[in-house]
Amino acid sequence: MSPLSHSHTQAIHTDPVALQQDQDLEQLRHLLLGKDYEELLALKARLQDSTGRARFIAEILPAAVQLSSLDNDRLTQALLQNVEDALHASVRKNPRPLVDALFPVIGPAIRKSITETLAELLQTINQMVEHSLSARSLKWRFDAWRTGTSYAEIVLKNTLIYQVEQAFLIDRKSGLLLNHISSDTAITKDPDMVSAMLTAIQDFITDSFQVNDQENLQQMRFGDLTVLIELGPRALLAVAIRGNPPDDIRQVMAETLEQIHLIHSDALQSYDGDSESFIATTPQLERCLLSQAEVKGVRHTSPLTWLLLMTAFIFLGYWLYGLYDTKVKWNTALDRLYQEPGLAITNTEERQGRYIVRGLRDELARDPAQVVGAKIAEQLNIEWKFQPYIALAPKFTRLRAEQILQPPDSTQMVIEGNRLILTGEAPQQWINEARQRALLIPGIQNTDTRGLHAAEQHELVFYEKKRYLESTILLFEYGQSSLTGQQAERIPELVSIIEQLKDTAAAMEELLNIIIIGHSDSHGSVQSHNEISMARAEYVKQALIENGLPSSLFSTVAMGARQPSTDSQGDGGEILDRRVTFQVQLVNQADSVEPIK
Amino acid sequence: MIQKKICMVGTFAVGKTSLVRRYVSSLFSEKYLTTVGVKIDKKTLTVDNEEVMLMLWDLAGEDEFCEIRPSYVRGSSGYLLVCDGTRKMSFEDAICLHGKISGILGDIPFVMAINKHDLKDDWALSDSDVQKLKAQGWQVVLTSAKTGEGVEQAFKLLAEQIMKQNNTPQREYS
Ligand SMILES: Nc1nc2c(ncn2[C@@H]2O[C@H](COP(=O)(O)OP(=O)(O)OP(=O)(O)O)[C@@H](O)[C@H]2O)c(=O)[nH]1
Ligand SMILES: [Mg+2]
Repeated sequence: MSPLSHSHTQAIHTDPVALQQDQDLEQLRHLLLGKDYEELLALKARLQDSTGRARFIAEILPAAVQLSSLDNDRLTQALLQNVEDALHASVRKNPRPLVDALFPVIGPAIRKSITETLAELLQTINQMVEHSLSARSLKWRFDAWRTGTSYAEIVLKNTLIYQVEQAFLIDRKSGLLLNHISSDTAITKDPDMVSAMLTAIQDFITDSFQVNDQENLQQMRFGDLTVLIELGPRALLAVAIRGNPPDDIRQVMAETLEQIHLIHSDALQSYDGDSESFIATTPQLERCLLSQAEVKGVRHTSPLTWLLLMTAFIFLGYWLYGLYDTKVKWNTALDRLYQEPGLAITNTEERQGRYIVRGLRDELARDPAQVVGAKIAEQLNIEWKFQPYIALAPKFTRLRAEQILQPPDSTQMVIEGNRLILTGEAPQQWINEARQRALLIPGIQNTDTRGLHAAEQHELVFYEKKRYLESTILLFEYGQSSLTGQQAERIPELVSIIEQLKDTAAAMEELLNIIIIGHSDSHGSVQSHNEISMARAEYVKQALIENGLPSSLFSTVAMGARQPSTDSQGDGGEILDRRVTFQVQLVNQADSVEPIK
Repeated sequence: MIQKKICMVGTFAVGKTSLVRRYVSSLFSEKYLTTVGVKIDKKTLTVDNEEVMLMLWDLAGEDEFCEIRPSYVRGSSGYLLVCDGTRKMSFEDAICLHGKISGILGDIPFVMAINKHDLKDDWALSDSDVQKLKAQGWQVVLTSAKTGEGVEQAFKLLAEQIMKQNNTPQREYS
């Protein structure tokens, strides 16, 4: 409808002339528009009537709001200020309805953020504690290992020993008891009175110290008893705890109280002294009856006990180690004993920390204690029980043969299996005896004496001296052909040996010839080798002659560098090449001596 | 069992504590130990075959005229207004306190106890004072904590009123 027609209609009741005109117009409209005009009028009336308009808008408002929010947030923006104002006004007027509505929502949100912060803090503390190494922490570490839980958890458990003994659900306004539960062990006294008194104390403090109305008494301590109070809009929850209240009890209390507010909100609001319906809160309250009694057993183990246990462990470890060590030593000892020639171990025994070794022992065998090692034998406290026996090992056969035959120096003895081979020179009588005695040697079944030459006493002396002289070496300095120092001092001794050789040879009716052989090292030419080796041989010959020996005994040979010493190896070894050696010949035995080239 | 919170209201030394003591433990002492804050007792009685437990909040009487601590009376189902018949001031104080409590809690059951009725020689109230109150519909009981006169009756009257209201419930919000 246009504003024009509107102002026109208003004129109806004011001007009597216009009124007549209007009525005419009206008739005209009827004629022109007929039935539609009636409907138009009805619509007009409806729009002018405010209730009708309200109903009209109410019909379409929800759909309109929905459409608007689909489109953009203009509506939200437009309403924002109003809603905010309304909330403020509501809180100013009476905060309770909003508190009631938000209480179950806000609690969990706040708690969640607190829990996270605390968890971080706890982690830090964990690390701190984990680095400390007290006896207690060691014990806790052991507990953690034993029970397979985290160390931090054990620490918490052990530091927080407590028992929630009672829980009171109290009507906040009247202080009347809504519900009460207690643990089996708690001694309860008149919970109704306690409930009223707890409320009265709250009121008393609020009244006396002019604290904020929103704040409340949260905790009371009396010796090891703690009363924690959690306040809700309608009810408060109080718990009595003996011991160290754990941190999470607050959270449990808050959750419990929220749940009760949520579930029993009507009953709480209309409460008038009949607590019957709050018996239903028992399961929720029971959640608060936490305790840490189960770890008490572990906790009560005193440090002394642990110390004793530890000592016992150390001793056990020591003992076990000793046992192991002894075992190892014993095994090595046995190994050595079994391998030792001349010892035959038949049986070993362990008896009360002592060891007994039984077996057979050749009298020539080493002392068994020495075989094992004197120290170990003493440690093991070994008792030897050996029977004598004769071992047939070649080593023992040889020793025995030497014992029985006592051969002169001029004979050599070789054992091949059960065969004894004797070579060299020996007096005829000894040879005869040896042939008989050899049969007494255990392990020897036959004797070979073909290489054994019978010799008289002077002959034996001759051969002994011959062997001595032939093994004598006189050494010269580099490039020198004369003896100096210690080497020169050996001449007199050689003179006496040669005189004995001369005498014994004479006794044997033989002629003695001593060949003096000069050697050189490999430095320089062959010519120089020959020259210097000859000069050395001549020098020795001359020295011997000067000591009173006839020159007819000697002949000299220059060997040059052709026969290096078998002992000379590497650089320093050349010293042994610059030398003079001897060969002893009996003239009528010339064929037995290697010819010299 | 129904529980009800009841307050003992009145100025200092009128005998609130003594009345509770007489009612709960049938004891009396001449010694005056003023109450600090609040003292709580309880008493179970039967009203119309229904057991009711009265939680008795014995408030400290204030030194100031007509003082009341709202937090203590909150949540009460009724109160015993106590005055000392030998002190006119305490009578006026009681009337004033009644006004204050009605302002906080609304119209809830109460009984007026004019105490120390054994001290008739020192009596300071006239019959008309009492009649005026009765005319307004007040329930007035003459009591003596010392002799026990009217004590049971005062509490019983209060409990009956409370239970009557309990059975025709009307919500009240503080
Ligand atoms: N003779 C007599 N003395 C009473 C009676 N009731 C109380 N008294 C005495 O009055 C004094 C005060 O009594 P209380 O019961 O402590 O008074 P109250 O009202 O609790 O006092 P506040 O706690 O200070 O407010 C005490 O000495 C009582 O012995 C009574 O009925 N007769
Ligand atoms: Mg008192």
